[in-house]
Amino acid sequence: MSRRLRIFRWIIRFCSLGAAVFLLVGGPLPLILSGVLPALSPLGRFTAVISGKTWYPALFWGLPAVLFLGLALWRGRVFCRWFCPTGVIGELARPISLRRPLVKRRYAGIVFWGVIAASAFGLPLAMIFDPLSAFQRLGHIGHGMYTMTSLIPGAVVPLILIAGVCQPSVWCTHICPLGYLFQLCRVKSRSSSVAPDNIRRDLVKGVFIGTPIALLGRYLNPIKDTAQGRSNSALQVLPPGAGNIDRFSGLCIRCYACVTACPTRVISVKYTLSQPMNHIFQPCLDMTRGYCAEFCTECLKVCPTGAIQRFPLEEKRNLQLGIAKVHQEICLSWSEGEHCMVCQEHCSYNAIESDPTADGLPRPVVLEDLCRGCGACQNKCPALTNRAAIRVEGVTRQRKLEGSM
Amino acid sequence: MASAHTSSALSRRSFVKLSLTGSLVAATGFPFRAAYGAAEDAPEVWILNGSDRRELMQQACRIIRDNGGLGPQVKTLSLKINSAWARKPEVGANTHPALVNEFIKQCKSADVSEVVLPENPCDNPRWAFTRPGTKEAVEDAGGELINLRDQKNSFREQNIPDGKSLKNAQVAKQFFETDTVINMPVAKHHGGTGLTIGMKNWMGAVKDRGFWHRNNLHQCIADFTSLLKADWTIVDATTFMPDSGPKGPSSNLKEPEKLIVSRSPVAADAVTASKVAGKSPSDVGFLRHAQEMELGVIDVNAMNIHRVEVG
Repeated sequence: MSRRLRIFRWIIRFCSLGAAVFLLVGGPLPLILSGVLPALSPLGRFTAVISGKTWYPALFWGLPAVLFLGLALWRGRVFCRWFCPTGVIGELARPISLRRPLVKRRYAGIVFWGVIAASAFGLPLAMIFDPLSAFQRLGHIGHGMYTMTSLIPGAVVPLILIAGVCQPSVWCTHICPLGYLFQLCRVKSRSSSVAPDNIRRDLVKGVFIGTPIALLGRYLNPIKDTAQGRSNSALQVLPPGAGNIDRFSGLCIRCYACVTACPTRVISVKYTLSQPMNHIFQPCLDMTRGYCAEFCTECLKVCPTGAIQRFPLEEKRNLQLGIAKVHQEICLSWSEGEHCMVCQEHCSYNAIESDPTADGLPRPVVLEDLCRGCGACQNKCPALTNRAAIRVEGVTRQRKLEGSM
Repeated sequence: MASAHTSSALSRRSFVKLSLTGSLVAATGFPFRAAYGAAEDAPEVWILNGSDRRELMQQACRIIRDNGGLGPQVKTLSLKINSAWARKPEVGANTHPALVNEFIKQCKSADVSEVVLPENPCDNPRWAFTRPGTKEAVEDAGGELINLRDQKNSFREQNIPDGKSLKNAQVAKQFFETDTVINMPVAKHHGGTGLTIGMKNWMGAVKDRGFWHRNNLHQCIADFTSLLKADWTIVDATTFMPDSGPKGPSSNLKEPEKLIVSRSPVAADAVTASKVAGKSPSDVGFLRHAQEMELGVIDVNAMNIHRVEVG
């Protein structure tokens, strides 16, 4: 490659890196762009289609990915060499690289087929191995998400950088399944990049590794039996439009575009041990941070995989994400005789009624057929500084309530 | 000035002059908030009835002007409205934007240079200020709607010497910095207190509402009134939510088409409770406490109530 071309390529790379960082930081950009970066990855699209058994979210978000896939037919890993922001980060370490062989064999093929197989069984391994999804998660450090659960999945890109210090571009050449996919797509190859034999071998190995991992993740719940009394294995409250919990866990590539987009910051990342493994690192609603606002559909707009389905506002308003439960033993009205009812005040759906005492002291009762589980009651409950007396528990399937409003 | 009808100490000449000219300038002489020393003997309360909100507000401003006005030195005014909820105006959860808009316009034409509306809304301001149309209405008239959650140092620590339950509070500082304070609440049902009108509206000006809920809400509301009394209270009873309050929507929304205007915050609430909500003021906890603390009269028979038909 000529010197001039090399300089030109670095300019393009830095522009892509800058653009990617700009997309993460957001700033003046419309929120819908939070989902663009992970949407650029055809791998993310593939796994979403396989896992969700739905193809229509890919129609909208898949367009840029199809563009890169088309480029790959002609030039193979052109995306990796010119545009990939994660690749640039790995490459940055090249001048100071120790050049120690960290990974000797190329695992990219096995990783790719493993990811595909795992997503067929509902575990989105792409959350770790898709470089664009990984890059997107860097943004959480800039959005006040310092919990361990958000930092661990956000550590992939720094790890790639460290690995790059040991062995230049080891991620891109040896592990990255997206790069493998691009290479695989190349129709006319000058230097035989992927031989059919190797594909077959990688495919078999990948399926044999990916499938059991996914099944283990789905059915192995190590703490389940001992977890009684510990958060009484309450289900997480998922973002609106997540539908069924297993569907969501499989589709979500943990790019956290919804976390970034959420204006009330209620969408967070938590991992409790009482959850099945395949729910690991998935976004959920943390009512201590906020609540799901009645007239908001931002997360529905940004989800690039369709894990959060796009519903019109009216339908989203009538989705039941969870059901609030009053814990009378710490409720100001029930246990202390205060005139409180803050939960009823903030309920947008008239789902909290009063069960007054004989002398007219109002006490809150949840109407489960009206409760959307938005969490406003829990978020605003003044009972204790560290614990709300009304808390939302998730449901296995988000259903549409017959909205009377 | 203001106490022409409430305090016998005011000179007759000043009263006559005031009535004759109806001018703002004539209504001078006393420090603006002097009228709030002791409990009033017979508070004046006006009940305005009419279907057009702008005409109602114009009439309310005329009444204020004819009865002492805002005072001659008033250049800055802080207005406490209710814009706490992400609800459309027709739900009646917030002070109607047309009333807010008209009031600010009237202030501007009376040479008040700065009208600020500090608010600590219950819902996220992104929706609580826009969905009722409050932000638009305020900006159109040249006022400034302040999101108290947005800014640092929005609140000022205030001791409440007469408070029984609420001894101190972090209160929006603007209410202590402007020349005059107006309270323009909306009357509606409230799950916690049964009713919310003017006195409870001040919860939207403090930082920690939770303390009130934990420590005898009705008493805290009365305590706060002993700290901060609006110079005028204008109650929006053009709509009245009889249940499902304070956020609504209620399927039984009433339209009493009224404004209740008074200098006495306690009397304004008592009259609204009695004439709009159909409740005896002594059945409303915070009004009962206000009476015990001698903050005002709650017996509607001991007030001078003027009924005004508008339009």
